[in-house]
Amino acid sequence: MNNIYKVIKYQIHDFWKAVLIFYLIIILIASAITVTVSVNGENISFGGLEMATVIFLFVAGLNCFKSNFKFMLANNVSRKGFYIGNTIALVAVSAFMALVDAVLNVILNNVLVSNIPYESVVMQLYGNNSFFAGFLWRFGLNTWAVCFGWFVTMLYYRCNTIMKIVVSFLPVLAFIIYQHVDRILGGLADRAVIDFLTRAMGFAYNNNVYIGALSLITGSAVIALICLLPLRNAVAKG
Amino acid sequence: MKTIQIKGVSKVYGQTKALDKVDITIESNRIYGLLGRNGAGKTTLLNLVTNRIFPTEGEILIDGETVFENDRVLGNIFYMTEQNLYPEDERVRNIYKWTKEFYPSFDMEYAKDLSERFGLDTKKRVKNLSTGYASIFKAIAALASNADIVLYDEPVLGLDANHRDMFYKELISNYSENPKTIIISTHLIEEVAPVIEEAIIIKEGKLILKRSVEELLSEAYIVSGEASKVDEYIQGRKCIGIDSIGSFKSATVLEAMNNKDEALAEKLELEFGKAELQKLFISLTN
Repeated sequence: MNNIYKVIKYQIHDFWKAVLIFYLIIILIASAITVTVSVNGENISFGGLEMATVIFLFVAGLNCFKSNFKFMLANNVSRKGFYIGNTIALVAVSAFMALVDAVLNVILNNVLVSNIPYESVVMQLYGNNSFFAGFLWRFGLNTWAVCFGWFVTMLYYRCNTIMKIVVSFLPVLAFIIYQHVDRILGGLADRAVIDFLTRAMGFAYNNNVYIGALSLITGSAVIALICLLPLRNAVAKG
Repeated sequence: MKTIQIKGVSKVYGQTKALDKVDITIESNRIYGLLGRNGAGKTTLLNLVTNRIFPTEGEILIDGETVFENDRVLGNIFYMTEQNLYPEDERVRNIYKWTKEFYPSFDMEYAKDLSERFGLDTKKRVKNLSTGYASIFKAIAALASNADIVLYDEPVLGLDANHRDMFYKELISNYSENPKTIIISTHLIEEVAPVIEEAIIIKEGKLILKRSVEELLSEAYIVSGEASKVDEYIQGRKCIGIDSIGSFKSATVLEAMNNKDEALAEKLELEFGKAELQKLFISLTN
């Protein structure tokens, strides 16, 4: 338990500077847009800044493993301890960033750019501007992105050179096969995927943002569990 | 009490058997030398003791508890590896701080003092350390960790003679003040010989010997003098090393110290000396 807390502390320490720089850039961009629009008097709207958070967290997920895992091995932390600590740290950072994004959404909507319409992704997709719903959905998406990044890096870490090439080409191959199958089935596969996503993301249920959030959180949990498999026997690599 | 029990441990990598059914009990509060030729399985054994890798068969216990994914047990071991596992961009002083997080008994003042004495700039990033200073930094972390079991894998790699001497002296002083179980894996046998109490010798993945250094050294001796007279003395005796300079010869005889023929040596005007651990090691591992 003690080690898990220390892993969380180390992982969050590793993240916080990057998070701080990220939000400084976001604030600078938002301010620059506000000033430019105010000076030029253009009638435009902007939105979706939280997608930058998703990309940031995906990259953070990609970078959360190799060096930190080796450092934990240097300190004789078990893989189990590292896994639990890392998962909690990633969830905590995702929650924190979802909260900051939700607060930024309120600020951008009401304070900074009252003359420029700002629309968050949640508003654009679900037409819902509730603070809590927005936070929950962003939290789900953030956790999914960071866990997916972690999964990708874990996969590459465990693969040898040949397997790395195979893994890199696999999605392309899968996509080509999918398109071929879809053509044979007369668009059935596409319709099934769209139907699944529409339901999973809650669009089929009156644009229910909570269903979307729940699906994203479930997806994140599944990815996090999959990450445990390659980690169980992982060893330090150069 | 921190006793390490290695029970029937084997480790197989593909077709290679790195360790083959190794059984060793390592008693607490002693300094062990883990000796073996390149690829003998020394690092594999240390990696197994610290759960860095997993045995193909067998188990490793510390005070009766398995080391497998056991944070409580692993927290009592500090392992200084030859491989760098520390973040390259982190400063040495920050790594000391984090080491203290994981090893609450880590003595920060001692680490700073040692860094000063060894001339290690703690403001430097790990990636900017030379091979020697990277070893010094890891050795300092190990010395200051105050863990019950400290494992050193090639601790003096890249160190100059002065720093090597400083390290061995500090290791003994540290051990005298805070006795602990220490295992040193090294190739520099002659240097480490005065430090270690017990030798563990591994050959091709198999344990071939675990004995106190004193006992081991009493099983051989050096006889030296005029070459022809040394040749006469060693006739019919098992010799494991001969050094000659001009007409002078020195031979290491594999025979118990108390069995040496003092009368013959006196007649031939030969002198006896203590055998070198390295000579014994070469003889045992060839």
